[in-house]
Amino acid sequence: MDCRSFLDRLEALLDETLGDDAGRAAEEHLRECADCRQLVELARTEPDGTAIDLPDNLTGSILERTSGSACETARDRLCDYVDGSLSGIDAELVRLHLDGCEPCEGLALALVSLAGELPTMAEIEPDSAFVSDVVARTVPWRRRLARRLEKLTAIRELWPRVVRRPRFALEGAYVGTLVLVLIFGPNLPLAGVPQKAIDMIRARPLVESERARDGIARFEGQVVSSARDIWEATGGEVAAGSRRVATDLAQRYERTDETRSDLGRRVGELVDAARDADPGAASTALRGIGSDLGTLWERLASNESEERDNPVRR
Amino acid sequence: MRRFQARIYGLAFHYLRDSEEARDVAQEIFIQIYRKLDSFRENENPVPWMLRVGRNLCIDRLRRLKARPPAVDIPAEEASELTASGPSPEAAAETEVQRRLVYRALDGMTDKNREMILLKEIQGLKLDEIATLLKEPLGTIKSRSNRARIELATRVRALDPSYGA
Repeated sequence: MDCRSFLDRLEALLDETLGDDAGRAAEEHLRECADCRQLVELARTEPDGTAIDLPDNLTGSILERTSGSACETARDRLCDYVDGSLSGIDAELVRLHLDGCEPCEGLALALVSLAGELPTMAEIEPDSAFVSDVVARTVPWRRRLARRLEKLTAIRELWPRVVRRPRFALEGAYVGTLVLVLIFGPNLPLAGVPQKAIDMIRARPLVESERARDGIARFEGQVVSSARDIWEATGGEVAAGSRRVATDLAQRYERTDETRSDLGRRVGELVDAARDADPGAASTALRGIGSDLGTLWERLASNESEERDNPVRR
Repeated sequence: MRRFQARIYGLAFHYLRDSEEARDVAQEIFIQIYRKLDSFRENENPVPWMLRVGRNLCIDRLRRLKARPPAVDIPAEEASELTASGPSPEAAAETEVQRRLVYRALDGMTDKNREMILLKEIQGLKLDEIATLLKEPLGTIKSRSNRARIELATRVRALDPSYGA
């Protein structure tokens, strides 16, 4: 039997109306539970008007056993109480509990402080380059390339000024020496390569140079032979085509002799009209020039030889 | 972007608790927001929408980080070196001790409870917005929020019994 069941049967126990089995269970519980034993002793004491020494926290102990922990109940409602969203009677009960319970009161104070503190932690300012970095990651690659090219242009403009400085030669020599030492220096992968190259050249200089000369001569012979083959295959046709074009151009020029003569005459008339300040004659001369130019173009563009050769097409 | 950068960076920092990772993820969040602008409705509050995008990316990064060896975990000290955008420098200096205390208390919390504190108390989302975000019933979110607040208050009081007095 637990304390709750015992308390349910307490009145029957005091009235001695409890059954045998229930009585035995209650007696057994009393032997094990000091709080309930103390409660029964108090209940059996005859009230004689003298003050009774109650055990510490008797009410709390009984309430805890019957209704659960007051602190747990209060803490379930503590957030709503701090937020002011708890209804009247519940808020009053929590307030009364807090008045008598130091740990729960401290917890409520902490909740109030946190409610003010936490929202201020929402924003943390990143460093000043944050926005530019994001923008750099969002712009298309063409714009990024353009920006890099701008930087390259700036470097190119800076380069002549760097070169013109008096100490540039000294710096160049220093850097060059450093590079050579870093590449071919002792204990490096390319160490000894220059010496090996020199040794190789010293060992077989004549043989290698003759072999190279023979190779170049063979290559030259192949190039000349290929060029001759190409000319023989296509040179005749190219020459004949060139002759045809030249003949055609000459014929077209001859066909415009008469028109060119008329055009020269019209230009002379226009000059005379301009000199005499005669608008009518100038207008006539201009119309004649326009007509002659049209005729000139038609004769240059027309293919009279083909038309003569193929009269059926007309 | 300048208007929300501190908010987004703050969210990323509280999830990841590492300034470099937070900076990187915050950039990704803005890029993602930029790409998803078409899906944002004009009459909608932008903050929950941005925080939803941000939370997803932070959780993705956390999953990837968990596959790696654990990082050095000194969030409280690191956080105290960051500049808060809200209060003035003087006020920030005054609250620095308390803030460090809160960071330490947050570090000891479970992931779920810390996320509740982050979304509701720090970022200021409403309970129904958190319920939508986490796809949980509103009642569950409310009770979890209360439990998280009590846990945080208990931890803070354990670190400093005079806190709030």
